[in-house]
Amino acid sequence: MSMLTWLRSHSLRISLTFWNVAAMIVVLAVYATGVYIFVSRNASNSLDTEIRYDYQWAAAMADQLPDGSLRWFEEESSFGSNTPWLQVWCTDDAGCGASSNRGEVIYRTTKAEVDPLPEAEKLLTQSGDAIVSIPAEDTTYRVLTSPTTLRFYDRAGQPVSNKRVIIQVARSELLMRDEMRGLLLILLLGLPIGVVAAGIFGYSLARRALAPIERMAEHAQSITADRLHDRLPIGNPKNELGRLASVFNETLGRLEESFEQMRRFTADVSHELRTPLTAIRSVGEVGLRERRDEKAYRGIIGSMLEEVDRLASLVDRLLRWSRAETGQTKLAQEVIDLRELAEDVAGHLGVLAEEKQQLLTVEQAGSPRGIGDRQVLRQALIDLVDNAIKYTPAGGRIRVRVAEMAAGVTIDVIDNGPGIPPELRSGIFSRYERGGQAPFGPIGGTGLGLSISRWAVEANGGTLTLEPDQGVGSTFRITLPRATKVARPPAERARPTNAA
Amino acid sequence: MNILVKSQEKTKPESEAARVLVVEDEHKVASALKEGLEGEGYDVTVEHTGEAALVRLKTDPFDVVLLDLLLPGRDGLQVLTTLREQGFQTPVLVLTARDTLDDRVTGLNSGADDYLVKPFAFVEVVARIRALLRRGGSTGATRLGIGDLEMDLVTRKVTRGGRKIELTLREFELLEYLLRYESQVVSRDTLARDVWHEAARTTSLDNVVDVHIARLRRKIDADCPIKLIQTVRGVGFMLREDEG
Repeated sequence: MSMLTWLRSHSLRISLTFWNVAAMIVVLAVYATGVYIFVSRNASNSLDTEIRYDYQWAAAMADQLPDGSLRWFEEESSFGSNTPWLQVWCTDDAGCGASSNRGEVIYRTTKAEVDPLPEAEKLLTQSGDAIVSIPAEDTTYRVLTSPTTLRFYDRAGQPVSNKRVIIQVARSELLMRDEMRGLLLILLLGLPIGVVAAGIFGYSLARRALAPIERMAEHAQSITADRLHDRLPIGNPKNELGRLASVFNETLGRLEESFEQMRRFTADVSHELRTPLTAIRSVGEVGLRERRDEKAYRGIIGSMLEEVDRLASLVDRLLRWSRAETGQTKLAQEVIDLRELAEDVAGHLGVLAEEKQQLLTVEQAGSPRGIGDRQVLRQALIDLVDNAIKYTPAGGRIRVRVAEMAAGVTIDVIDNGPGIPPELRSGIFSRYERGGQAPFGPIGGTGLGLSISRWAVEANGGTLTLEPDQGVGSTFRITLPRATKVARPPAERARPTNAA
Repeated sequence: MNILVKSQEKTKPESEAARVLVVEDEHKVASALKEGLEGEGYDVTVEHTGEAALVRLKTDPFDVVLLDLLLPGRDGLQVLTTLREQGFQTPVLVLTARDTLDDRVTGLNSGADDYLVKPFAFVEVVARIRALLRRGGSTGATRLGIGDLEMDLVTRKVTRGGRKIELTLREFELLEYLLRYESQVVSRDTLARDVWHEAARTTSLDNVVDVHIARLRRKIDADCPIKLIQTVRGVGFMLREDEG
């Protein structure tokens, strides 16, 4: 609908006003129609009542003159302009000696003489006493035709004669029509006035209602990346605008937090980048300052290459992280025998534990089989076990326990090292947290390690949690969805690898 | 590059030097590759654009092509596609800075034989080129050795100066690999891929490699005046008889 399209392209204020006016038009139209119908019905009813009253009056007040003609006690003039239209027909053959068999008019008021209504004669034959409309020259008359017997009395009050007559009473609709026309005029005039009033009122109401939003928008516009700590004022927290403001403020809070994280991350990364760069530069510069023998030069170049290696692996890790973040890594869905996976990892890292005289064992409860991308989960488990080996002192013990639980299948990596300080536990998986002085994750402090592990597990529909402190060491738990009997075959896999 | 020059006699093909075409627009990288590969005994030609490389390949036969994917004008993938369409069978090693799997798949589908992601280690380039040139034929040797260290691939016995050395499976594989590439520097990357068969090199894997090297060293070199396993700082490891 083009109207709606037009509305959508305009401000909320205009469309609010539009709807307000539209609603007003509908309400006024319904109201006016109702009023008109009600009033005209009333007027018509009261006109009928008046006619019937005239009839009764006519029947009761008739008086016979000595010459046999009729007369009314009250003179017409007492009615003023409201004189009824009245005529009386005699149908009594004996009584009035009429030659016509249909009867003849034996009395009519001045009004009936002026406006004789020839149609009225046809009504004489009708039965009942319905009120019939008869169009006349410039108006419509309503005519009541009804037979009655006029009874005449003498002075002593004795009835002297009866006369069967038909009385016709009529009144013009002119007055009623005039009134109705007036009403219609008022109603029709009122409609545009009401609409205009509704428009003006609606517009200013909408403006008043929307003013706080406009202020909020202006305020929000002034909140830039540098001023993220700024918040919108919350007028009344209970109303809609207050809620909008507080929700907006919450969003700002999260935004500020993620900006802050980003800043910290950038700072961390540039620090990490700068360290090897500085080392390369200073080792190179110092190396060039004096003549040295070949062995010394080799040492210098080798040392520089080591730093290059650090740089390369940092860049590589960042790439893997950003790919994981943006969800570019597609995962396979395969059945994984957790015991086999745990033993693979333990076999892979066993030498590292041996070097530290640590005991690295795999324990099993049931034969848990999970679903996921084996390569990705394996790397996550490798990182967890590697961390455990790193942070558990020589001679310690690391257990990899696989089990079937109600919630799914689990792999626990349990060490008896110093554990994780309570103040660090909550933030241990967040991307940029560091585990105190000893950094988690292989590249110095950016601490991507555990957050990448968590991503890896969660991307496979599982969870990676740090189990509650048991007093000794720490336990990381991977929970995975259990493999059902019918598992999908391994899908085509695409995952980050680094050959550099 | 000194070490590499020294190992020249060993790697240089007896008949004639294998011809390598390096297509790389970055001059510093191109000349480093040229110098390094020449040091390894290869006959190296450098082209800086895709068009020039195509022209060159039509006139000169090469044994292997090193192709950078990001070239000015016609990029590496187009060059590769054109080459394969024209029926060239020359093995191509793709060098790319784009570390995405899609690119790799495209690279391999479009006819690349292998790929390396920048920044690559030079020893890695050498190892890949060697692998491409050796394709199809294996040495078939059953005994490997250097100095007084001997390895029998059939009985899986290792001796040094007649003294039997017990090795774990992994240590055996590691030593075998080092022996196959004796006097050449083998990077951790290469070991991770060829001995551990891991897709990705990680720090924990580096540590695992280091531990195995250390153990191998203890078993082989501990009691001998001549240390065979040498660490080339910042590059990798090498099995060699004489002291660097």
